[in-house]
Amino acid sequence: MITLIRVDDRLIHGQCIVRVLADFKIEKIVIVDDFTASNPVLKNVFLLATPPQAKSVIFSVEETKPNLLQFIENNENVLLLMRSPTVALELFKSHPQLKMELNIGPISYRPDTIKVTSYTYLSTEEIEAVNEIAERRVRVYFNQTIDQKIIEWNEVKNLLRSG
Amino acid sequence: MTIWQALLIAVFGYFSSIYSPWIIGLLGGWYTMGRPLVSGLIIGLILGDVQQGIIIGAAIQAMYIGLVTPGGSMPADVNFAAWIGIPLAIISGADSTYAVSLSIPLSFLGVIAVYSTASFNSLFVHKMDRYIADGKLEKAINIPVVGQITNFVCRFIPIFLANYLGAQFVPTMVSLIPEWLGGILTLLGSMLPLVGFALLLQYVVKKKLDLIYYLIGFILVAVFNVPIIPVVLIGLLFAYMDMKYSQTDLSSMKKTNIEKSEDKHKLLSQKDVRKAYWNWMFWNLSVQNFERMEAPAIIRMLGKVKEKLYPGNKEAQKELLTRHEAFFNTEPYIGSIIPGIVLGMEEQSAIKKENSADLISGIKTALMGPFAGIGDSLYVGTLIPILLSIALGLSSDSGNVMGPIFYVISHLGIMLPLTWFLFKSGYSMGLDSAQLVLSGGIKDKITQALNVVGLVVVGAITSMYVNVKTGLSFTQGDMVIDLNSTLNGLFPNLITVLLGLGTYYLMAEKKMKIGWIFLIFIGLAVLGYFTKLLAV
Repeated sequence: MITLIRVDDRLIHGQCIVRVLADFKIEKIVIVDDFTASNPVLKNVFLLATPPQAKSVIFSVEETKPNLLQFIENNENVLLLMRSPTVALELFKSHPQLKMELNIGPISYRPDTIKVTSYTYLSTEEIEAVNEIAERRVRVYFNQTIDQKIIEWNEVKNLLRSG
Repeated sequence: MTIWQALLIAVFGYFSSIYSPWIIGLLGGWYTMGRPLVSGLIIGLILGDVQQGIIIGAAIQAMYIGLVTPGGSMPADVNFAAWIGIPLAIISGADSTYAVSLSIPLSFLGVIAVYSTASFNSLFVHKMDRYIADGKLEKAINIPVVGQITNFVCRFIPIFLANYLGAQFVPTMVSLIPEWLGGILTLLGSMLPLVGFALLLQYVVKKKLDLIYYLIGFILVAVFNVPIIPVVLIGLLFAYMDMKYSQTDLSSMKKTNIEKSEDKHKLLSQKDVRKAYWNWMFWNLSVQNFERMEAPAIIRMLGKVKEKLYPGNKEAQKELLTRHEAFFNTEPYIGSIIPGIVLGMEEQSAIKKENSADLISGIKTALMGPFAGIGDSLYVGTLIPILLSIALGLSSDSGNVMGPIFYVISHLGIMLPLTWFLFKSGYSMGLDSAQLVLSGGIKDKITQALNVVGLVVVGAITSMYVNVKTGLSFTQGDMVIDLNSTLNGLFPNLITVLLGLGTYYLMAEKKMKIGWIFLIFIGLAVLGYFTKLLAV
């Protein structure tokens, strides 16, 4: 069962390990990232960095698609983790049965990005992707850890248009 | 308080703030002098009352012991709580429990300082980008030094003013506190360490059965009055048994060594590598900003050796710094392996004259997450609180100076060699080093052992630092039955352990936010005081 779908450009990191895994009682982390999946040493580092209470698997976007159904249907609490909303959009398209909620956590500044929340910067392409996800009636919200404020996509999207 | 004492306190308070670079970055500052127990020692020395300084510092430390702040999400900041709360409490002759109650609003003010600093500093980062673009490289690598001004303003000035001006009227204010309010504050302050201990338990307890270790530690002190050093030894024994009888396979720890290629060409001498290391260690959070986080420190580190990597080639040096302008953020000390890897990869790329910019930034970006995770949970969330718990145990005997001294020596004694080892391994072995230091489950075993020792120690100091009683008594004929001694006959310090476990339950199981927990404690203190249900 997929408990949380999260976009977070540092994938596994402090907030993720210290808070998110505990708050959602995560048992398995499915990391969807082409770069990490393509480098065997890096892949190993991620597997080794996962704390003992959870297990990680790392797939490229293409590898994820045939495997995703088993994580939707199993009994474990699964965290589906990726770097970018564009990846999330692809998965929502290929798997309409996914949980209709997307949590966007920290995404760092890059040139040509717009500040959406104090911790999330999105490129135009990523904003398009989020819009398309929201149009599929998925609830998109921004939140770092559950003890902090939740910001709904609906609250910020109009500001982005007018700004 | 003289103006000189207030100035000295403000200087040290500023040195101990989270983004101050001067005492080996956070290592000697925020994570050493900035811990209220150590702050208490320094403030005590300045004000001429070491013992009282440590007693108050220890009380505030106990409450904030579980404060782990991953990835810039900051619920409370102990800098103002310690460097304003402790000195004013000392000169007012106030009880340490007053100081604990009053430190809460100060800690929220501290958060404002953190957010203002990190927001304002984006300006400096943009300036850095411009300097690099204009080829003013020396100016660019000095941004962490120049940008430190924001942190100085946000810390030195408030601490100085609060101490100097506060010293004029706070003692009068404290003497004017009516008896009932004083009673409530004392009761509140003596219960609040339970919030800190519960926060810590939340990070350390992996399965509910682990709470047994907490209870064992509590009983060792409450029932048998065991001092802290034997408690630690007993904790180590439990850790050994826990590892021995759990599923983990120790044989995998013998991992084959990855070959070191000795005949690599070198551009950097040992001295250059050390220079890079120290620049990282001191400046990593100096110009902390939400936009790029630690990127200016990476630029400073590489900028310090740019002449060695690309001698005389200004264009190549400029490109080198430009490609590290991107966001970088990790736990700086366990994560020191990453700047090490970056340095090694940049050196190889300069030798082979090939463009590996994408690979370097890809690996740098990929690694910052995992090492932040390990650093925050193992170092900030486990090692520091456990060393502090032992130190609190040593100081529980009326402000013994051994507590802070033990903490300073053990913390720096572990972290300085460890960070150099990580940085050096990263530099000489590259990405393989990241795999090597994590292999064999060493990290998981250290965590497991530390957690068991930690639980026993936290149980012990809960009983040393908190002793909540009930003031209720019953009259039966001529006899007055004191409910408290009846309860203690059943289980010494029973109310404390029940309150402690209850707080943990609210946080871990009910996911209650810390602000609500504070409110509940305030409510308990008010209610407990007037009904005599609770007493100190």
